[in-house]
Amino acid sequence: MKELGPEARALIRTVGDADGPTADDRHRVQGALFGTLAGAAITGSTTAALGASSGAAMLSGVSAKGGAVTAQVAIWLVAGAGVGIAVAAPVALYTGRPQPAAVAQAAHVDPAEPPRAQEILPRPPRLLATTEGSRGGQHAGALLAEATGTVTRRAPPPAFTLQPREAPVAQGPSIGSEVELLKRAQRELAAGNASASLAVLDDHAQRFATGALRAERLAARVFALCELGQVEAARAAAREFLSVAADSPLVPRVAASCAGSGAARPRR
Amino acid sequence: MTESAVSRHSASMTVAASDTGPEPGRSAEVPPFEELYERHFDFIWRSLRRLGVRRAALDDAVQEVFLVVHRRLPEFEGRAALKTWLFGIALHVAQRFARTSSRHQADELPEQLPHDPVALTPHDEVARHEAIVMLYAILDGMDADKRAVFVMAELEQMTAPEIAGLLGVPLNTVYSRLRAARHEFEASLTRLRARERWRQP
Repeated sequence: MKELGPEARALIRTVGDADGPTADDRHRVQGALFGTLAGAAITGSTTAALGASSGAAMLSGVSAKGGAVTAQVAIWLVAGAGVGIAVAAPVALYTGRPQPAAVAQAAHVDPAEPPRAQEILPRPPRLLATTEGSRGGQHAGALLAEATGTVTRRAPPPAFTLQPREAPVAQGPSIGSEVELLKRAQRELAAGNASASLAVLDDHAQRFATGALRAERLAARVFALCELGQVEAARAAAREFLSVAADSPLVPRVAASCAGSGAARPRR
Repeated sequence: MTESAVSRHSASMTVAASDTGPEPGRSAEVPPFEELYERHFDFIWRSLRRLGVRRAALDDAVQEVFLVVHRRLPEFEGRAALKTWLFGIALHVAQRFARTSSRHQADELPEQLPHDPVALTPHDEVARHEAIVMLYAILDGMDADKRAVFVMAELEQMTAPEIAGLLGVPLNTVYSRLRAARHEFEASLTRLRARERWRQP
């Protein structure tokens, strides 16, 4: 077969690997991927499965750009045997009114396995009527701000502690440790040990003050404080959360917590 | 193709954990997900771009690939190269994204090239950027089938049997597509170079 000519080969050689991602691309996607992974773990607060094994959860359909959630959100629990669990959309997650068709569509990790979102996910108060998570998130953020007396503003993207490309080896383990800590906090919370959960979150805050999963930690703190009935502290934590993660997919969840419950009213 | 279909297809492939290829009858140890992600992120990103995923959709496509990888990693059988397995997943995600979006546009190319630890002169930088623009202009002119084979053979240095396995097509089909793709690549390059020369004063 005729091979490529020298000019074509030279072109390919010149390109080499230079069409790869920039450091910004790498950080953006990594932050979004592992952030949603941990975010899903926090969201599914009633399931022990989330903390099981080496499994992690991811939100499929979550845009990596700015953490905006698209209409279809699936939480994949990859614990152990790779079980898939799905939530149809934010409307199902936050209103407790799952949309069967969307659930079925999102749940097809394994067609043989029936969707189990309703078994697993908490049913917090109805909050949002929109299926567009990002818009809903912003709205929820506004509601929360109203409740907590903060001004909602677009926060800069969360700071990453990740090293630039020159030291890539440090990134994986750091993120892995962050995820592991948040999963532990989640397990404690799910087991009803909110104080222990807070201790783990404090540990995370000490070790990864401005880590890639800072927003997820702050959101988890809100939930733990609510569990302890410390509403004022939860509101303070929610304000801090909003100040660094106004665009986070967790904003509606925080708004639906005790920190934002005063303003959390259903809208159509 | 839905994600589950991508997963099923990928899982049906026999793969190996080694980057360089399998040792007969022996599976290498599968690295933890975080390590695999770190090591292969650039490769997945680049492969998706080369296979035709628009830059605006790249973040989501990369996430989707790693979602499948994360879920399927425990099923990794270790009978082919890990990189080939990853590329197979990227290929199917790319095909799905390509069906739902328009093709690359030259103006979507990155304004900022990846940092290269080896310092390049401004001239080198410009030459490399121009080469990338030209490469993608040519790839964008190909149909998806030829493009995939060309990328796998010429850019990723995969063998024809590997490509046939990934695409699920006969070996002869790979050869004929590659022949046509090379011909098209050369013709497009000649045309673009001629246009370049014509534009120069």
